[in-house]
Amino acid sequence: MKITRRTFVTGTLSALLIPSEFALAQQQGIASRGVKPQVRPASSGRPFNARFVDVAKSAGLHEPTIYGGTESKKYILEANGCGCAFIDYDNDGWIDIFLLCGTRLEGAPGQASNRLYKNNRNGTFTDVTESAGLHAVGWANGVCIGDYNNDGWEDIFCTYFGQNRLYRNNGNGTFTDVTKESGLISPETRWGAGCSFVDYNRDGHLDLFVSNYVRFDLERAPVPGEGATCNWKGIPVNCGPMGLPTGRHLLYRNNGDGTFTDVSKEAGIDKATERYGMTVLAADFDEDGWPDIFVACDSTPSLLFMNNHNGTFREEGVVRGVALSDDGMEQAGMGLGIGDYDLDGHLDLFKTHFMGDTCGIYRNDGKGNFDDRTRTTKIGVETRFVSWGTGVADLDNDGYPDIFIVTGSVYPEVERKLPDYPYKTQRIIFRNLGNGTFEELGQEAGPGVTEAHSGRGCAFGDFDNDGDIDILIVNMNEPPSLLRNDLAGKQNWIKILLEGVKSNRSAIGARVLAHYGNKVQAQARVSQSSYYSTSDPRLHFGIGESKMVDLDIYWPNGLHERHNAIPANQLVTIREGKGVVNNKGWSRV
Amino acid sequence: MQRFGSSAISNLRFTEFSGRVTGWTTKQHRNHPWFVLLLSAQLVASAAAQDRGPECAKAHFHLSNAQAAIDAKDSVTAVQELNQAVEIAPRCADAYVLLGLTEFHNGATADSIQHYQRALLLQPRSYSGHYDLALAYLKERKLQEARAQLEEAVKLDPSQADAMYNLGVVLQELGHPAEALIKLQRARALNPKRPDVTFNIVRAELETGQVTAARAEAMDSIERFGIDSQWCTAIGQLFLQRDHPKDAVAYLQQALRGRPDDADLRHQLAVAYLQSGQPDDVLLMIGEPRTSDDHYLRASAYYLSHRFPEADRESGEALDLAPDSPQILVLRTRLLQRAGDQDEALQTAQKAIRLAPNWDQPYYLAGVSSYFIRLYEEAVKNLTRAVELNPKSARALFVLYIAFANLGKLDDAETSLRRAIALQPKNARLYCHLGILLERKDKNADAAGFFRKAIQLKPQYALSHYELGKLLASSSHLRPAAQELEQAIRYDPGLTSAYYQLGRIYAKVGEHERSDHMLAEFNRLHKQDQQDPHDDQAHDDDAKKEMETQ
Repeated sequence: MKITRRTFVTGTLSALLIPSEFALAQQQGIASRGVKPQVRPASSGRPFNARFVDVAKSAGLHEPTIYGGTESKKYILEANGCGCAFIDYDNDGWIDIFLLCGTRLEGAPGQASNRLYKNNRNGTFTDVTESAGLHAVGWANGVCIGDYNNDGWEDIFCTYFGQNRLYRNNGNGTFTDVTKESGLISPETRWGAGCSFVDYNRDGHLDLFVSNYVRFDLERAPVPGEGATCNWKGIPVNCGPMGLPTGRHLLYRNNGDGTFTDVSKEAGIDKATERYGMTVLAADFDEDGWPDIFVACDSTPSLLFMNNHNGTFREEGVVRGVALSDDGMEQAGMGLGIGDYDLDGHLDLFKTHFMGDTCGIYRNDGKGNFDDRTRTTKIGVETRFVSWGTGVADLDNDGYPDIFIVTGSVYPEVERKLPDYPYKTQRIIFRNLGNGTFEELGQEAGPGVTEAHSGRGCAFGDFDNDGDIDILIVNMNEPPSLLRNDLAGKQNWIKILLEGVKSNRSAIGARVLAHYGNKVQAQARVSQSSYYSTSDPRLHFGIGESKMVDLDIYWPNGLHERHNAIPANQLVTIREGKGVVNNKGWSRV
Repeated sequence: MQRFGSSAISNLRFTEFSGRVTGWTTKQHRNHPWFVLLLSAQLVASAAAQDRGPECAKAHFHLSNAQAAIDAKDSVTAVQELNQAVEIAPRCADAYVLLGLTEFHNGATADSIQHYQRALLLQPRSYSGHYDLALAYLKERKLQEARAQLEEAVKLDPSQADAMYNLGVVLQELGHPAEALIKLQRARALNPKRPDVTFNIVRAELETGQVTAARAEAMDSIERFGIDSQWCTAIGQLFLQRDHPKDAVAYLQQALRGRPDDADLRHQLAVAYLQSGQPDDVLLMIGEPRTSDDHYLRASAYYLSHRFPEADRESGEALDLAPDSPQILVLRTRLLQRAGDQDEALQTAQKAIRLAPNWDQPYYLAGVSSYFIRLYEEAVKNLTRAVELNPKSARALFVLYIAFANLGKLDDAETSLRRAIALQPKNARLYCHLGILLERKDKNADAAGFFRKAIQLKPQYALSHYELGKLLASSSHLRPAAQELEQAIRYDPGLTSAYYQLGRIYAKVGEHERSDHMLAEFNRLHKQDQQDPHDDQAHDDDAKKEMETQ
C-alpha cells in the first residue's frame, strides 16, 4: 500500500475518503482524484430554449470513426481517440466538416480514413475526402486549422502517433500534404497530440505548437494487467499514461516561406518536461497583446506558457492557478474550453478530466491569474464521466455562455464486469444561469444530449447558418454525431468573422469583446480547443434581447479597433484596419 | 428483631447459589453484576423472620410443618403448609414472609413479591421485609423498585452492610455511580473484609472518572486481597474494560502468579498487553503456541508490531486450528484489508458475520471493505448494523459518514458524523470533517466554525488550519487565509498542498519572492511524494486506529 501524506490530505479535503481509497486510485493509469460531487441544487425551473437532435445520419455522415478495438483496448493508443473540425475549406460561407480517424492494431478496415465532408448548404454533406486528397490512415489525434501561408484558404494540420501532417489548402477544393517540404518531418516516432497555430512572435505568420502525449513503443508497451498502472478497479486495462515516459512539446516558427523551424529549445518550451500534453489552446490570457499557450496535461500539471514578447516563453501554470486542482493535485486534463462565463470581459478556461473528478472552471482576473471556481459555479455536481471535448458557448443565445461536454469511457471491457461503468455515456450541458452558477441539464436539452456514445473530440459551429450553435462530435468506432440546435425563442445573436491583414490572415489570437445590453463578453479566435478539435472560425455571440452590439477587437498584431452599433442577427466580416467588409458566400437558410 | 439464624427461615439454604459468592471474579459473570448482588444478598435472605405474635400462633402447626418441609428441601409441601397458614392467620406477617421466601426459592418470584408486599402491609417497618422484597425485585430486574426497598431497608437499619452494599450496586447499575460510591464506602466501613465491596468501589470510582482514586483503592487493597487470584483477575478485567490496560496488566500478572496454568487468564493478560501496546510481551509470554488462541494472540501481537508477514502466518495457523473462529476471521480480514485485498477481506468478514451475527466488528470491517470496493450501499448496510450493535463505535459512525457522503446522502452523512462527535466531543478530526462536509453542502460559514472548533481542540492539527485557510482564500480573505496555511505548514511541514495554496496567495497579494519560495517548496515536496510514498504519517495513524478495535 502506498499512501502519501499529500494524497491523504487532499483526499480528505475534497473527496471525504479514507487513505486506502487513494492507494486504489494511485494504481490507476489516469489521475482520478476520487472527488465526490457537490450537492445538486434544486432545478431553476427556467426553460432552456436550445434542443439538440443528432442529424448525422440524415446529413450523410455515415462512416464510423475507426479507433482501436471495440470490445477492449490493449493499448492506450487505442483509447484516447481523436478530434474533428468545422472548416470552411472552400470559402463559401458554409462550414464543412473534417473528421480525424484512427486505425486498428490488426490493420485498418477499408473505411478507415480522415474525412472531409463538403456542406451542401441544405443540411446535408458530401464526402469529398478522396477528391480533396485527404485520404489518410493512421493513428490521428489532433487537428488544428489555420491559414499558415496567408493565402486566404484555411490549411489543416493533423497530429499522429507517428508522423504529423500538414495539408496546404490549394484553394480549389484540394489539399496537398506539405509536411516534408515545410520541415515538419519528425526524425523519430512521436505521439503528436494537441496542436495549435499561433503567431507567437507577431510577425503575421502562423507558427505551430504541438504537444506530445507519451513516448510510446508498440513493441515494448506494457499490456493490460502487466503493471500497477494497467488495472482499473481491479480489472486489467490498457496501461498509462502514468508509468509511461512523457512526450516533449514542440514550437515551430513559421519562416514565412512555407517552412517551419523547431524553436522549442530557444523559446523555452522544451524546459517543460514530464507532462503528458494533450489539447492546446493559444490565446492572450494576460491581455498584453501577445498570445500565450495553455496545454491540458493528463495526470501531470497542465502547462501555461506565458509569452515574454521576445520569442521566448515562461511556464507559469502552477503560480497562475491552472496547472493543478484546487488542492494542488494533478488532474487528467484532456479537453479545453475558452470563454467568458462571468461576462467580465476576460477569457476564462474550462478543462475536462477523468471520471471521479470534476471538470475545472478557472476564472481569469484579466492578468492571466486564474482562480478555480469549480465549486462556486456548481460545476462540481458532476463527476460520473470521463470528459473530453468541451466548449464554452452560448447554446441558447441568452447572452450567457453555457458549457457543453462530451463524455465516454476509455475501457470498453470494464462494463462487462462492472455495469455501473459503461463505455458509452451521455453528453453534458451546463447552462449558465447568469448569476455565476451553472445548472446541469439532461433531457430538457434534447435527445442529442442524453444519447450515449463513447465520444471524444467535438467542434462548435453553425453548420446550417441559422444563427445558433450546432455541435459535431467524434464517437469511437461509430459514425459521428451532428447535433443540430433547434433553438426556440427569439433571442438575438451575432457572428464575427475576422480577417487579418497585418496579422495572420485567420486572425488566430484575436480577442473580441462584445458589448450588449449592460454586458460585456470576451471571446478568442483560436486554432484548437475542445479536445484536439477546431470550431467554427466565426465567433458566435448570443446577445439575448439586445438588438445591436459594440465590438472591441484586439487583433493579433496589437491593433485595437472599436466598432459600434452593429445590428444583431447577422454575420459580420471585419477586416483588420478596414472595418466591416462583405461576407463571403454567406446566406441564411 | 431477629437476625441470621433466629427464625425458621434462617435454615433456608439457597444451595443453587452456593459457590457463586465470588462469581464476580469469573469470566462468565463479567457482564452480570446481578450475581455480585444476589449472592451477597442471600447471606441476609434468611433475616426475614419477625416476631410472630398471637396472630401467627393460630397457624403455628402449619408454620412448623412448613419449616420441616423446608429443612427437608420439600418446597412443594412447604408452600402448601404456608398457604394454609395464611388462610388461617391472614394477619400473620411471618407466614407471608416465609411463603414469599419459599416461592422465591422455587423461582416463583412474582408470587413471592406479592406475599412480601402483604407482609410489609402488616409490618411496614420490617427491615428484612424490605430487604427480601428488594431481592425479589432484583431477581425480576426491577431496579427502581429494588432501589426503593433497599433505601427503606438501610433507613431502618443502617448497620446492614449487605443492604448497603446492594444498594450501592443497584445505584451503580442505575447509572448513579457517585451515589453508589457513597453507599459502597459505607458498606466497606461496616465490613472491610469483603473483596467484592472493594471491587465495586474501584468500579464506581472508574465510572465517576476518579481514575487516580480507583488506582489507589485497588493498590491499597492488593495487600489484603492480592493473594486472591480471582479478585486480582476481576480488578484486572475491570481496568481492561474501562480502557486502562496498563493498570490491568499489573493485576492480571499478579493473578497469573497464583494460577500459572490458567490459559484463560493468560489470554486475558495477553489482551491487556496488546491494548497497552506491549506486543513483545505477548510473544514472550506465548513462546510456544499450541492452541488457536495462542496463535491468534501472537498474530495480533505481530499485527500491532506491523510485522504483517508474521501476523499473516500466525493467523493462518490459528485459522487452521479454528476455522470458524470469528475473532480470527476478523483479524484475517484486517490483514487482508491492509494488503489491499478488499474482495477477500469482504468475504472473510461476511463469514465472520455468519458465525457471530451479533458482533459489531465483522460488520464494521465488511463495511470498510465494501467501501473500498466502492460498494457504498453495501458499506452503509454493514456499518449501520455495526452501529446498531455497538452504538458507541465512533469509528464505525465515522466510516458510515464517509460512505453516506460517497453516496451523496449528505444529510445522513452529517447525522452519522454528529453522532460520532457526540461520542467523542473532543475529537478535532471529527469537527474538521464536519467542516468539510458542510462546505460541500455550501454552508461555508458553519464549516469555518467547525474548522475553528477543531483548531481550538487541537491547534497542532494541520488539516483544520489547511481547510480553514483554503476556505478563507476562496472568499478572498487572503491574509487570514495565509495565516492559517502558515499554521498548517508549521504543524505539518510535509503538507504539500498547503505550500501550493500559500504560494498562490502570496502571488495574489504581490509577495512574489515568498510565493516563489513556497511554490519551489511545493514542487520539491511534490516530487518527493511521488518518489517516496512511504513517508506517510497517515499510514501509521491508520495502522494504530485499526488496532484499537482488536
